[in-house]
Amino acid sequence: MRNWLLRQANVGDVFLEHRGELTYHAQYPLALLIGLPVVLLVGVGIFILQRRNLKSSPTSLILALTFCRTFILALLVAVLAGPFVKLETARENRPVFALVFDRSQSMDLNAGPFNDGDARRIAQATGLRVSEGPLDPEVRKAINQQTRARLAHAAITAKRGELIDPAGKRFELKAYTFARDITPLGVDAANFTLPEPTPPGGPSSRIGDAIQHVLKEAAGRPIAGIVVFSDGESTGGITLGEVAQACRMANAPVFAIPTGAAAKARDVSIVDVSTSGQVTVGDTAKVGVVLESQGYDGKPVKVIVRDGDKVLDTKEITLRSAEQQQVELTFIAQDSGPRYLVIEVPPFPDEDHKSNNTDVALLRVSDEKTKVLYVEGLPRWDFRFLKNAMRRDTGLTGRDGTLPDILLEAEWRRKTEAERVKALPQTLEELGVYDTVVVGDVSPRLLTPAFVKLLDRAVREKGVGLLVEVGAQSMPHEFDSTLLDLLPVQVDRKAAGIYAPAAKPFKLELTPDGGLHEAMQLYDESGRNQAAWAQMLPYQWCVAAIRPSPAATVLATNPNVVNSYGKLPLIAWQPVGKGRVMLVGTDSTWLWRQNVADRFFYKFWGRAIRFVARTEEAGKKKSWIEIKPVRAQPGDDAQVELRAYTEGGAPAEQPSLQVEVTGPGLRTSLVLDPDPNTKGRYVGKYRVPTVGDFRFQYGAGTAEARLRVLASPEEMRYPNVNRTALRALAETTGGELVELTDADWHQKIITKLKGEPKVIKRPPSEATIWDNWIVLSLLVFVYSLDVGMRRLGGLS
Amino acid sequence: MKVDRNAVYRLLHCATCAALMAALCFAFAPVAAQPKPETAGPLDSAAPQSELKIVQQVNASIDRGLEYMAARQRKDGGWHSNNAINALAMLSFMGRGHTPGRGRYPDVLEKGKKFILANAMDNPKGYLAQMGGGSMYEHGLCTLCLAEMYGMDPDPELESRLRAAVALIEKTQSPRGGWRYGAAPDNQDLSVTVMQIVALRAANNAEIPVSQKVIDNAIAYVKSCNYPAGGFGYEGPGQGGPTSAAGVLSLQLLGKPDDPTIPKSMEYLKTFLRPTPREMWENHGLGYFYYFHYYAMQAHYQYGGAMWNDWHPIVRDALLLKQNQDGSWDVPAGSSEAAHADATKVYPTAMACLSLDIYLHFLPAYQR
Repeated sequence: MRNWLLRQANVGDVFLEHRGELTYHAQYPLALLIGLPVVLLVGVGIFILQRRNLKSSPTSLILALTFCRTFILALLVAVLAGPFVKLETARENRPVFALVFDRSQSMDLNAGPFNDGDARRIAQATGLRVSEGPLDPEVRKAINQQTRARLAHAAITAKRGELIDPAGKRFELKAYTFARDITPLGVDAANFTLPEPTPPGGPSSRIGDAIQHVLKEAAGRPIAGIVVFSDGESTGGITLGEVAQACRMANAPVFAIPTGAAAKARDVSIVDVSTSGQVTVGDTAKVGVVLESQGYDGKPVKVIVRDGDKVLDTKEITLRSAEQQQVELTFIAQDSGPRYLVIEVPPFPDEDHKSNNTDVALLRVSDEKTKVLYVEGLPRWDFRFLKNAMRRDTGLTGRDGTLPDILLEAEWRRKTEAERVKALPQTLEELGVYDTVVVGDVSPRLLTPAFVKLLDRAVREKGVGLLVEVGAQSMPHEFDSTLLDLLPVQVDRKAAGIYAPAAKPFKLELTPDGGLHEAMQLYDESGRNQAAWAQMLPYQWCVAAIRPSPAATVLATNPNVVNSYGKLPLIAWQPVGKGRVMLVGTDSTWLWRQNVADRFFYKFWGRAIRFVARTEEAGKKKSWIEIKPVRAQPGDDAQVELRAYTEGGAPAEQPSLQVEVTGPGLRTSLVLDPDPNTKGRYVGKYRVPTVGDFRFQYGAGTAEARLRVLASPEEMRYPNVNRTALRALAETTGGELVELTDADWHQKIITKLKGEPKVIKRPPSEATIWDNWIVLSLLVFVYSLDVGMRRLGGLS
Repeated sequence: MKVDRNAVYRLLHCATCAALMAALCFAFAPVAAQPKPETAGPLDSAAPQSELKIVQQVNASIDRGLEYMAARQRKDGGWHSNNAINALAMLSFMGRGHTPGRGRYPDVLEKGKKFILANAMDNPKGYLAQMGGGSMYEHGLCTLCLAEMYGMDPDPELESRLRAAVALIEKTQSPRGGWRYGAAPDNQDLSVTVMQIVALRAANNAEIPVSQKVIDNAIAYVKSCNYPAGGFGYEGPGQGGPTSAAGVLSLQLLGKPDDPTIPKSMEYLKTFLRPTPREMWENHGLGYFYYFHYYAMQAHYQYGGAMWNDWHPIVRDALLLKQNQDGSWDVPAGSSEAAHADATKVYPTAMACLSLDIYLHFLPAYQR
């Protein structure tokens, strides 16, 4: 009944669910306290008055009439008092206790080899019964050969009673697995069971992302602890350093549990491969290979580079495990087109991991050279490194077909007036000879308004590419709108750049577009590429950019400078007329040379010069297709770019175009959408489904590109358990590295979990109970009853 | 008009709560946004790039060395009465990526430059050796230092003095193609010559024109000091660790990395390699320990391959091992450089930092 009444009073579901906890109140209790006694007195008065006036009426009728009127008055008083119901509830807020399991491919490697003592302790930790005396060979084998993922599963399952059950009473238990993505495991602390790990694991280990996900899901609630079962090799996502700092700020200790033996596997691993990137037919191409080895000190191995079955070069190296070793292989590039080079080190027969003895690298061999003009102000370091690298790059030439044309303003100033005039192209035709113009921190004295106008026309009308590297002296703040309108960012002309605070230099952050862009591909694997950019040294100065231009694609940002348009665009490009313009918003790309010399520095610059370069020469308008990156892992998105031309050389204008995709046991088509900014340019994304070689063809094979999909070479590159990284992660967060070989490993965790459940009272909820149809009906009914009785009693 | 009192109450309640929360937020808002914490370097090594861990170790060591030197720079910008040592100190800052006016040491280079220019003899014109003494050693190193600063510092005086210094080097080349202590074209030795060659290379790298004839003559002179069995002598064909390292590097920097004299000379240099870092320090058998390693480290890097792989870990670890608590280095026993290592220890500290800077690849003069 009460339930029905409350529902009719329209108090809401929450009140109905907690009807046992409701309390009843009046908004103006004084109205009740005074009103009801007054109503009672008034009722007595009504009775006396009616008895005097209605002497012929029976007493029962008078009583009934008196009751009706008194009731109506009482109801009105009750309404006046504003009755309402009140609900006060409390909830228990429990800190989060998260279990995070690495399920990447490397977790499918054997957990062993453990020595006898550790194997026994691991057996005990995972709930195996082992007798005293020598360890049973079968038990040892089972322990050593179980996967790392299985070891983690067995360890946590065995300690359910000692770790999960007590922790589950105090904390809110959450569990996740992760590889590239994070998957929540629906676990119940009261009835804890963990799903068995099923191989194969995922294609990368994003440990940082997984831990950050836990922080985000906690949504501000306290975190008692995060237990991470992993081999410690993070191959993508945010770095362990960043996530460790985030955990420390959130007061969330991480307990890192290395799932695997401390003993290093006997292994030779190719940990890095770099190539010249792009060469011209007939050039000497270089392939740099970095090796890591364990257990083969002093033994010679051959490093081989192949193109298909053809061996291009071989070098012998004597292995040393103390640190990484580098080898450089060279060969003459003979065939044009993308060359997929295979680099291999023949494995030793007893090597534990043979899958990391091979790697692949792409070398683009072109039969055309790019004509480049490079104009710079002072010989800053970026200029010096870049012009030397450009001069060595045999794919670049100048107007005369030899070395790229380089003009330094500092030397230009010292020339005679006549020589100065001739130093730069004077006509559109002369400037239009170049495919790319690189402009550094040049002043308007050299880049006169007339030349800038010429440059503007060359970009828009001739398709000349423009690559601008900003500088604190002049570029671009000393120039007018002719140059500024070409740039892919809008800049604050009043500011000669932005200086970073000395203690907090700027960082570079790759955007999603940047992650796919060829100029930003330091590595083919996206995770590794992102990590390489994240590890670049910070810089002290950047352009005073306000926002990207409307047609711009931002490849990298400065996350330290944010305005209402977002993070400061640092590297961006945009199509302008027939050409492309790219802006590099810092003058310190030489910092990218740390440890690797020209490798990253010129990988970026060499590709950027070619990316903006004119590709549409008259009479040479053939369709072409390009895939970025050229090497991917299953599940990755590859960006497909098609430049489609009709037979007459005009850009295609169809609303969409299809490319044929063929792969292992697969033949399908991919629909590409047109780029609204560039006629004939169509783009799309293809999610690669499986391992193998894929071909993308357009126009019955007139344009073709290839994509090689590998099963995560990153995962096997460093097969050993990285205890150093895990320890650093745990200790930075206030947690600790916990070894499963410790008999009381679970105690180390449970005793250090932070926080206790807290009862938190919710603010009370209230709902009025007078403003509904029942009160109104009751009023009408009683009043009608009163009227009816009077009529029936023959009263007026 | 029908008014839903519940809604009104809720609205009032929400508004009150919102106002209260806003007030609370305002009251407890931090005065300034909390800076995003910097990432801890060692943690990022979970997925190392090539030798990343080594570079982190080396960087930490150089940083301590630079901190030591920065604390000992005098108010006038100098460290020493010998401009060669002042130039080496400045080069070691630049080798770590510190440029004028920016970063952690915005003034060190600016003050150092002013000191060198203010105290340079400038007689003959362009001579950068310090007044009251000095030699072409000082001039070569100061020219190298200014050439590396040029372009990163838009000071017109720096440019004009640098150009004059380069012109002086060209003018003072001896008929045999070398240089000697005095600023006159009358004699030559390989040690002084190499200093001028590195300076010319740096200037030329900054597009300051250097006569090809001067370069050719310098190459000829360096090659004339080559010993047939490998190595380079001080004034003519001969051997010796420091001069051999300097000879190899000068040919590499002059655009002759494939010169036939180099492989044998590299083999000769290998005889100075000791099996452990400690032995490298204690039994170096060298008259000029830092001078030798400054050039030998560069020469091995330029040569690359197995020679570099074998050389740099031992030398690097020897330097890391022997760094003092305060960030400085001492001169090892047996080295004649003790004369340069006064109480400030700026010379050995700068040389050690410069030798370790090899991993960073920031000084343009040494681009391979």
